[in-house]
Amino acid sequence: MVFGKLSVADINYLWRGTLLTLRLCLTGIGLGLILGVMFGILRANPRRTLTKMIATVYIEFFRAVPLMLLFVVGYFGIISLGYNVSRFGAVVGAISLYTGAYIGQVVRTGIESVGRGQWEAGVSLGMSYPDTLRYVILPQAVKIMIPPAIGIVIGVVKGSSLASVVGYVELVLAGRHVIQRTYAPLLVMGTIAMIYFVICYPLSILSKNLERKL
Amino acid sequence: MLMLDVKDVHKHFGQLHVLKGISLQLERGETGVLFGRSGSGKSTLLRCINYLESIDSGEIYVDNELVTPERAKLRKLRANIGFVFQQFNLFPHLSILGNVTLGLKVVRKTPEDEAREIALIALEDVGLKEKAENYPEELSGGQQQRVAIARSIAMNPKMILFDEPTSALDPELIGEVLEVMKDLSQQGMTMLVVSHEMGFARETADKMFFLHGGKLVEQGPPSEIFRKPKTEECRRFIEAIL
Repeated sequence: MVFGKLSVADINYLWRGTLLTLRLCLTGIGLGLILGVMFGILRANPRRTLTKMIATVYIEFFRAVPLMLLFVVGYFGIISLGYNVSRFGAVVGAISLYTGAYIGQVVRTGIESVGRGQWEAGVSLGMSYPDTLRYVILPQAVKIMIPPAIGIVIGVVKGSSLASVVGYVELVLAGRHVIQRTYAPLLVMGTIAMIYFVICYPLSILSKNLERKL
Repeated sequence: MLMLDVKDVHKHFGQLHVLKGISLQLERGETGVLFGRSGSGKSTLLRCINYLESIDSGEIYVDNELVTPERAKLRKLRANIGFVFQQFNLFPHLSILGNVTLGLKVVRKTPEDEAREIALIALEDVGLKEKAENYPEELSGGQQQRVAIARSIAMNPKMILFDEPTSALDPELIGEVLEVMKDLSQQGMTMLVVSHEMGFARETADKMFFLHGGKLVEQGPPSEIFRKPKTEECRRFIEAIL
């Protein structure tokens, strides 16, 4: 059976690329969200602590470095140092650190956007800083964080295509392999664009719905 | 029995010397009213008492406990001092009941059911029991401020500090808040109130404190302050606002 110029084997190959992209994104972004929440909270601390400094350096550094560079350094760089690292491990690590920095910034600005009066009301009841953060500030800040956070997630999903530079056969690299076999660049890239759209568009919808609901 | 003992407190904001050696005392069960021009330091003094602002020198004792920045002690102290803000500062994401129970649950570790009971009694005291399931944004300013008072009462504090509790309210809503405060005062709550509501002061205050330029210029019972103020500044201020 043939879909235009694509054989079943080609379709399966693209499907496998899709799954690898999803696996990469789910793991990398999942870890990135955890890092982002952690470092964002540490950076929002009004006291000048060591952890705040570390968080600031982390966030500023990884926001300033291109994702592609992180993939290259994370894989070839580490291998050149003589350590053994899997492609998947390297690209997931890069995506996590990259996502974490951006989400960290969103978490921090979200926390800081909640008025001082809310902090004062919380601590005046005798609550600690972490308790006030947890019960008073974060529930209000989440609302503010969701739209930009989902924007970042969508950006990272698309940016994950750069993992092809280290030979991780995600969707775009899978597509290039198929093009080499079929000479149908428009058809293949059009299909891939559709697949990215199907992954990303629901995220936009989710963002709108959550915004309305919260 | 002294509830509040402020001893020679100094405070600067940068170059600005906002509190210049303030000393004042409040007995258990007394209501004090702090008044004076804006910028005289009255709100700052109030905020220093539960360490929302640090002090540069001097000492503050609440029920014989020194107010210190040491975290665990400070938390305990704050749990025992109610604070009512000019802008209410209710938690917008929590119901009225949620607002009043939060401190009980998180700080006092009161079980859910018991916290609910205490909160409903506190809400009844301020006449808002039927609003327990509503959210702050659904209430008028006067009602929100009464919820804020209930939030303080629920913690069973030794003293409540009020920072201009009615100055953000529309005129027709001020009365209901003052009424609640008057009831509290009559029930024997120790209160220190920053306010220009002179009618309230006259009826409710045991002591009035006039701050001027960061100094406590005059103090005494309302009868004295209103009838024969000792200082020129105090006399002029009272004439201006009455």
